[in-house]
Amino acid sequence: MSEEVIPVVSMRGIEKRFPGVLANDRVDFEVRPGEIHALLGENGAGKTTLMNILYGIYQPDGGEILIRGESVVIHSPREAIELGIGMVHQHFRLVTSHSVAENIVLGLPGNLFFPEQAAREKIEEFSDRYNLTVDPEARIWQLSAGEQQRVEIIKALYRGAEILIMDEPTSMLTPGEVEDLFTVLRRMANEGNTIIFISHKLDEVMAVSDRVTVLRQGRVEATLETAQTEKRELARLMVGREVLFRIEKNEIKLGEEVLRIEGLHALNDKGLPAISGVSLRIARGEILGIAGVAGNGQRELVETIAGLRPATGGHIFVSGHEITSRSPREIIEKDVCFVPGERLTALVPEMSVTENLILKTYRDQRFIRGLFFNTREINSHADDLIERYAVTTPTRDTPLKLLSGGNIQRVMLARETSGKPALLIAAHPTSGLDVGAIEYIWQLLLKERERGTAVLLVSEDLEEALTLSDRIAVIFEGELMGIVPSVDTDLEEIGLMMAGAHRLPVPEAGE
Amino acid sequence: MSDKKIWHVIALSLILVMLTAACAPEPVVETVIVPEEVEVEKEVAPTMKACFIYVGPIGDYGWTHAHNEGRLYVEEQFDWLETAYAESVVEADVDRFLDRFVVEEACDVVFTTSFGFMDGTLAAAQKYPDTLFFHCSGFMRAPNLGNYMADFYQVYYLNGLMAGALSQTGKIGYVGAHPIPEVVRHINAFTLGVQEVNPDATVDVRWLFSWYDPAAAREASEALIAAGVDTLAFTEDSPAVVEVGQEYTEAGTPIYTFSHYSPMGDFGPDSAVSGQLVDWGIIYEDVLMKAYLGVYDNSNLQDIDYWYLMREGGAILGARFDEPINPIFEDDLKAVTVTDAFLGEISVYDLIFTRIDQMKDPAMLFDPFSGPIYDQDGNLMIEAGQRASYGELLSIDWFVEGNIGSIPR
Amino acid sequence: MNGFPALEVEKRRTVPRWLQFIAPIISLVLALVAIGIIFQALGIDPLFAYEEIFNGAFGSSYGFSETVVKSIPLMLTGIGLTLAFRARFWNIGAEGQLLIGATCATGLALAFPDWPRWLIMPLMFIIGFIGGALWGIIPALLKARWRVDEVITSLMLVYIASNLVNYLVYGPWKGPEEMGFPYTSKFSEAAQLPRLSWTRIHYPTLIIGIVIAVVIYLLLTRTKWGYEIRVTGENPSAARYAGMSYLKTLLLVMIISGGLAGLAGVGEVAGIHFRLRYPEGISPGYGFTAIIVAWLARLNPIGAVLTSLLLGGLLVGGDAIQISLGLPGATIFVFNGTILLFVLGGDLFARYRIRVKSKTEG
Repeated sequence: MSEEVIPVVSMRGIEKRFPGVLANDRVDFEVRPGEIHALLGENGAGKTTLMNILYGIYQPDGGEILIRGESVVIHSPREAIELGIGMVHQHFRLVTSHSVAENIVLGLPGNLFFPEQAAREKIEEFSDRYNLTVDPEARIWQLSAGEQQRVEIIKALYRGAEILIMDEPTSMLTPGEVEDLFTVLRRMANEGNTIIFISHKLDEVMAVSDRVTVLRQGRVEATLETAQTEKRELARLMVGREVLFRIEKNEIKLGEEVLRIEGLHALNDKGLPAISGVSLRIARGEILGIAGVAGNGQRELVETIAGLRPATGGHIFVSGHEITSRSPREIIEKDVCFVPGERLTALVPEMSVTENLILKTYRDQRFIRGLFFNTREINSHADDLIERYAVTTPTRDTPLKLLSGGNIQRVMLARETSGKPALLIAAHPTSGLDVGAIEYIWQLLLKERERGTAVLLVSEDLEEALTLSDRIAVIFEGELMGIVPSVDTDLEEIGLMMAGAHRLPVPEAGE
Repeated sequence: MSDKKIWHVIALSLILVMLTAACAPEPVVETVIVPEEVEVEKEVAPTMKACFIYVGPIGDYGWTHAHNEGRLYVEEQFDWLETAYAESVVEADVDRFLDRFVVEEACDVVFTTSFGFMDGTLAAAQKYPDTLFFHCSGFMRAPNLGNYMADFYQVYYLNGLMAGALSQTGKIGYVGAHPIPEVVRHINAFTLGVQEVNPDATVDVRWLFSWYDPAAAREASEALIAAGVDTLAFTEDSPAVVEVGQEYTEAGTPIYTFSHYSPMGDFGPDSAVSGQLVDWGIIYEDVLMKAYLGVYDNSNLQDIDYWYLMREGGAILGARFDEPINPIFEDDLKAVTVTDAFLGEISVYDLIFTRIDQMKDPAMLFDPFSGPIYDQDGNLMIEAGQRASYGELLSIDWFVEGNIGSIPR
Repeated sequence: MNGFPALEVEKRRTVPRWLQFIAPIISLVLALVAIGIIFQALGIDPLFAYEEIFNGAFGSSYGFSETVVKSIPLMLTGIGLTLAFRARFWNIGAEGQLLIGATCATGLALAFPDWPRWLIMPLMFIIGFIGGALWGIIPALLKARWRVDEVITSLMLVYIASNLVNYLVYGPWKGPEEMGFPYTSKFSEAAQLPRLSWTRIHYPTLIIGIVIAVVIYLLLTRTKWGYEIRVTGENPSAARYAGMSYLKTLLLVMIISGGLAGLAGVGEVAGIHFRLRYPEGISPGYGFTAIIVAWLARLNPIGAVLTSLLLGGLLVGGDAIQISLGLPGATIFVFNGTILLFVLGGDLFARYRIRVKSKTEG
């Protein structure tokens, strides 16, 4: 494309300061009409801040915005919408008890009565044009994440959006849904819409975008034609150094058995069976990966081991002690550490980094002097962990919520692995993190393995599971379909097991 | 006699003279000396401040409303009188208001108008010996603490006569505020009246444990009606019970009600038969006049007990001030007759007015609490030929025969 | 629209310390402005009214002593509530816990009129604490075991406590020499708290309150129990994950919260009334006003000492304007309600920022 084309969006010298953070530092960002433009960067690089400024949620402290060549000041999302800018947030903003059609027209002015017919026609029109199939009558809670996202997109289009900002659109989707989304986005771009695609996932950026702008620490590193770059270069721009995509995994001699699960059963939150007869064993120095499509009992399995969910049948042993349905505290005392998938269930965002670091160990005698906490000891413990795990935080007393996603996860891992666990349960330890952080966490898990920790790794990312694990257990509808070694695996076989179409005889049962 | 007292006596006579003058059709000789004397009087005894502590809101249309009417009345009567008041005073807070009225507001006389203020009033009387205190409906005494009460038991008895005559079901309900002697006495008097006309009738009592709670009063009324009651009397400081009676009557279920404390006739034109009205004004007038003249001082209130009944005009029969009985019920009351040992056969209507005359007679020819009176368990409590004493009436804690329900103990 | 300033609301990433401190003060000032408008509408000079309130509450030694008297139960109850609210346990029933504390102490005082002061007085405080604590742990147990909403249960328990007191003073505990009135007999001299000089300040309770404020502050910030309470309040699932017992934390919180309300009740019967009377006679809603005390203090126990004085002053000063300006008795409730509304609103503005921006272009 040539330079004469007037950019549909042009942000010049944008600056945005938050207390202690320069989120956007003289950012120049241009988007051409009809393109899919990826905004790539690690968590905390300033991508979302920049787009929130474009959408009128934040006001910039400096700089200028031009839309279709005209200088504008966008005070609110309402004004952004008037300019034809729409945004689909990472977390959907839908009223779950209302229907699709109701959500789409919600908040529009001038409707004393519900414009049902008009809405339905419009929805059908968009559905046909962009392949955005969704039932206007369905209630939001009945829809999958992918369908909800389509509702959000239609909502933006219904309001006349020509420039659509998609904030991390794939983070909630299954691989199949991701493909569908890309199809929709490409069609929309072909119809003349402009799409800004915020992501930290290199594969997606390579797959869908026309051009890509890389942000790092609030600054623009480069804007490139996607076709003329490659993953490795983008990763380097994003992280600021070379990134290893191959992980060196040393041979480890397996030690004695740490975790043994026999015929475990548990229910989900709705009281329906979520795990049915799961049996597995993990030895010292071994990583067992649990692979499977999300929602097949992974969460219930790890929660049951951690004592957060009662077992309805079967047994769990750690280092020879039965811990089935014991209290979380008794299980913690058996040196079981747990990194849950939903990080906020294991962290207190309002409290300081230090206070989060002692969440599991605050009862330790060394942290207590008489009736009171031994503040000096606690602080030096925190300083030590912050240094060892390279947590970037202004001070140890900073509220955890002010840290970036990767640093929050470092705090969690520092806490969970520093105590030399016997068993480490890590559920989705890298989800939502950028390349740099992922690499760090992978190294950390391997280091645990070398130290002789038994690791139970749950991941929806099959590549991650294969890279790190010694063996892979595939879970489907709460049952283990089989356990296979991770080297020389037949990917097709694993895929079939994940879909429930193939089952291996369970060798462990007879052992 | 101190100089001050002499002056008060002179002033009293002067005021009496002036009052006579105001009423007299033609000037009396003594008025000639009035002008110069008044000059002197004004300089010596300038003003007096009377303060009132109310337990409820003035707008309650019951107890506090009536007291406030009395305050307004005396304020109108005496140009030397200044008044102040505090409404809705929670009983736990009364000490603070008493202190404030004495210390900050410099009140000469403080009236506390709820039995729950008794402790605090006594303590204040001991703490401030120069101030005069009057406590309504209690019994504690001090040289500068007097007691006063306009009591309704006679009127309740008359209401009871009407209730006994009008009730078709013989089931009568009573919504009571707090189970204290005052209310128990009224319920008993009411029941004595009911049973004089209809010995088989019963009075079912429900307690609210609150002086002012229209919602609870309404609930209790409806519960009683649901239990077959067709006549309601009550002690609660709102017209809620009368309103319920009117609603049911309009809907085709006649419910007879008796208004309480304030003229509630307008809330139940078809339901309110009669009721009790109070005139605190005449008590306040008497107290303040005597305090102003020095008849009452901080040494002689020990035995002052105002106990105003029908004779004194403190208690008045009716749901409206000028109407002892709602005219629409007159015929019904005339139609029912009873046989009295002395009066022979007599209509209830006539009986009521005979009893009023008897009770107003200086010799008090009749009192509702005349024996023999039995309690709920059939024990003889007041023997034949005896009347309940003032002390017994003030501390009565048992129900007469014919009452359903109990006094918590 | 051009040229008009536009208001924008955005969330603050952090709430600066100075703002946390100053927000309630600003809220208070704004509340006074709003109430001033009401006064103006009623034809009363608001400045004069505030002067009256201030003088009534703090201007004279008498007024100030009454303010302190009022603040004692508010302080004890308010401190307990800061703890409960830190754990996000909405104890609305402090009023009931206060009444039970008063009842227990009364029972003891009536049962042992011969005991000397050094024995009966501490025992009255102890049993009052235990009574309030037992009343407080009922909603905690119901919540931890069966997830019953504590707002409902703690509130219902107020009515039960209230009826219990009614039953006792009208029934078995009615003093024989009280001529049928619903009072218990007066406590023995030994069971009456000493007062400061001519005032009604029962200073032992006041001292207990101030000491407890410091103790609770240390408990909350310097001990593992306080840490458990804070984690439970901020994120109950993280507390469970860390092996903290929800039940144990709630019990601890409610034993203290209910117990302190119970102490407040002991102070009222032993320091003010010297007997039990019906509930409205013991507490004009201290347990509810203490909720405002705790919030105004931003759930800081030491702050609650100051805010209880402030609220006590408002209540006492409120009498002054009722009497001298002839305002309806309900005025002071409007007053308190407005203040609470503004304080809660101020909390919002501390966490969000408003920016005024005029359009210069477009």
